[in-house]
Amino acid sequence: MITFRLLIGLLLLVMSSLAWSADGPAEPSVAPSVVPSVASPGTAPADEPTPSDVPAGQVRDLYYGTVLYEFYQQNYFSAAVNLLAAQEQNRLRHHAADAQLLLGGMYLSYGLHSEAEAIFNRLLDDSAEPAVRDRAWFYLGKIRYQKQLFTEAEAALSRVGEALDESLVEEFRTLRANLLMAQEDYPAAAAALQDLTQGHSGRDTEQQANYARFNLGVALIRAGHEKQGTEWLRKVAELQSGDSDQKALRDRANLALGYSLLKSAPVLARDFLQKVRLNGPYSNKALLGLGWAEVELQRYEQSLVPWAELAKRDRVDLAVFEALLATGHSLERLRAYPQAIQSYSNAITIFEQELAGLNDTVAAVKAGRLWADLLAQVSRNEMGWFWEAELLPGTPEARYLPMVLAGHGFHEAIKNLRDLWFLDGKLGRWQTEIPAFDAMLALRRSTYETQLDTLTPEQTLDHVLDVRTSRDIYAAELKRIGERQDAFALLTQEEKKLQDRLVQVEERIWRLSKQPDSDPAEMEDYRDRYRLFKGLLDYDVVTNYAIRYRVVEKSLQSLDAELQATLQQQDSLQRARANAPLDFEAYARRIDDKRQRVASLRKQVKLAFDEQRRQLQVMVDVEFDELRARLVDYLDQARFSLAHLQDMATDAAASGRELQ
Amino acid sequence: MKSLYKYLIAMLAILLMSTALSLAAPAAGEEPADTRTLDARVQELKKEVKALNRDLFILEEELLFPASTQLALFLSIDVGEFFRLDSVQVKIDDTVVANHLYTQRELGALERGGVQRLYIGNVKSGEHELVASFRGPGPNNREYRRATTVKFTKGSAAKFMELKILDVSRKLQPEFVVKQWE
Repeated sequence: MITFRLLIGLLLLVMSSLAWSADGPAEPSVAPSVVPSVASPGTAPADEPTPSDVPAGQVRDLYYGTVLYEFYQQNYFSAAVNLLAAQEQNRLRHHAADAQLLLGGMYLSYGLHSEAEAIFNRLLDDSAEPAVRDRAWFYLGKIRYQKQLFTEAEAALSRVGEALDESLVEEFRTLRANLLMAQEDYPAAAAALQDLTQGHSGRDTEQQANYARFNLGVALIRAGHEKQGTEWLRKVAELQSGDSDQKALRDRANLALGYSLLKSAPVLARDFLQKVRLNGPYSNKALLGLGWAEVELQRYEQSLVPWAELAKRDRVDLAVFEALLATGHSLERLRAYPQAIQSYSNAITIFEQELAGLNDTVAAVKAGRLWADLLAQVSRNEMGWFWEAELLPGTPEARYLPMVLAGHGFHEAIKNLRDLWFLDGKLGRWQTEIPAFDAMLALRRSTYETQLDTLTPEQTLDHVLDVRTSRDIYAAELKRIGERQDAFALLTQEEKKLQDRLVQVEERIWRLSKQPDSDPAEMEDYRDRYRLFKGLLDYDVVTNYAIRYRVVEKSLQSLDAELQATLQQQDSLQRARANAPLDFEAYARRIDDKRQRVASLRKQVKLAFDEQRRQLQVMVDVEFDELRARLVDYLDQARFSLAHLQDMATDAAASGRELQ
Repeated sequence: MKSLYKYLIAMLAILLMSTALSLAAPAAGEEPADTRTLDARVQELKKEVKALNRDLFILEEELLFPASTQLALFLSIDVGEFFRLDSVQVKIDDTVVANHLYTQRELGALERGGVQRLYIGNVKSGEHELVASFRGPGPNNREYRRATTVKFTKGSAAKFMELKILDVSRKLQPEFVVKQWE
């Protein structure tokens, strides 16, 4: 029967795409890491920078810490920009090599292979540190592997020594195994994977070991050791875990085993397929396979159960369409002809509706609605560089996209579109902000000029020079005092007044003594008291001379320091006055240059965006054509089967029987 | 007749040559077509936009926050057994300059060694006072609020200060430290 043959053909196609999708790097740009693309630990894509990409250790430069802060939040664009700015400002003195490694890792994830390679090569030239060199060789190996330069990748990986950071060892071993798989050296790949299957203590290592076990199973089967390979897949198929990735891996192993045993051991195949979760990412294919396992066992009635479930599901998977056809086939085998006719009729109606829906979608995509919806869904905020299928809009236009997304350059192209959209947003924001730079510069210029105008007389250089002249006079006077030990030159104001009063007292005593009626004894008493007070003052002045001299000397020294600082400030002010206009001009030129660069780049980004959208349009058209061909094929098969049954019914009626 | 035929052939050959030449060489003033693949051009654009962003980032900082007045505050945390940061507020000379509520993603980045630039601004040279207050669930999951005060001097160079939240096992409680960087 044609339908049956075609379905078996489809089944084999599903089997091969399921079980052996880990074979080779059919699309290195999408899934560069062959084995992890099937079973990579964690939710991060295989080539996305992970914490292990960050060199461990204490943060010794604040700005390196700020780069990590952005990096850990998956703000990779900001992380890279912060890092480049900090490098430019010489703020990463303690983490120069770490920063380069991190930047190289980010470029690698961003698909900037040449730049990443240049960084790692530079590190190999500059750094003598074994840990840095090993890490650089590791990344170079990874880049070359992603470029499918397998021999060169092997050469780089063979240079990795014992100093490789512990956090990268597992990935390094996986990469080597992937490399062997990519070179189709399955026995060697299996040997390399054997080492990785030994999960040590810790949740993460056990999970990684499960991925390795799965891949080992695949490698062994490819190497011709089906029995051993199946054993490894069985181990994964039986694993117990609450982790969603591990559950998906288990489903995948059960699915692969189920499909591989479908023809040779359908009972076993059914057991494996039944273990696949009903709501996981592989449930549709498992339900389809389950039905076929029942068909293999000639349990046609039982085959209807999973297919009936599948037929109710959202039609975003070819398995659902296939189930519609297969249901008719089983009913036919059960000789339930009226029900088979009904089933085929239903299938025809659905296929026709889907074809009409698909045509509407194609028209909507051609009108550009899909891209508008798609980009409306994507925030212009950075959120990593990886496109996620969950971000597809929920509009009718996007309904068929998951079907055309898988396994094609679509993923990369849509990522580029998203990145260009993000870049356009960034540039747009700068375009609105650059005028503010002009305003800032104008403000600084006017502030500077205002401050110049408001300088007080005390702040001018002339005033400072006057002060210095006075200081020199005082210094000369002090020198003279010192040379002559002239203690009376250091009298205080009070003492000076006392000295003047003593002179006046002496004059009055002299005048009184000249009076005819003066009493000589009384005069002598006055002279004694005068001599006593003068003696006291002279004693005080002479005995405190050294202290007074020192105090004045220190004051002069302090004045010298103040004068020196003031002259330096004046000097700096003079230079600022001379340079400021030049600085302002330099800033104005820089702002203008950036304005032009932003405008020019934005234009280029827009052009690239349009071209990328056109490319995507072509890709989507091709994919939709293929999908349409598949639907038409299903429709033809359903019509053929229906016609066949109707012929049978007509023949039966002609011979007076009823088709049952 | 024969010579005329030869002449025509020669003319035709010259005409064809000149046509071929004009086809091969782009017209004057025309830009040569970019023969790189679109993907290569997109990568190049990403690189250029990144470099431009770096330059603009530096220019903005230089214009807005010259070194003579620049003050930058950073926040880091070292483990979080005794305290989980919910929010932080910073005052400089009694004026609130930073208020931040932390998302799970930001906390995760801090816990893994990231350092947040909490504030960048301008202050005059001289003496200043910084008060940082932290809130969040503390030991035994009870609301915990703590403030720390530090006096600092701003000189003519840019000033960097780091607010650090540390777990002190000895006291079974968090500690808030302000570190001044050169």
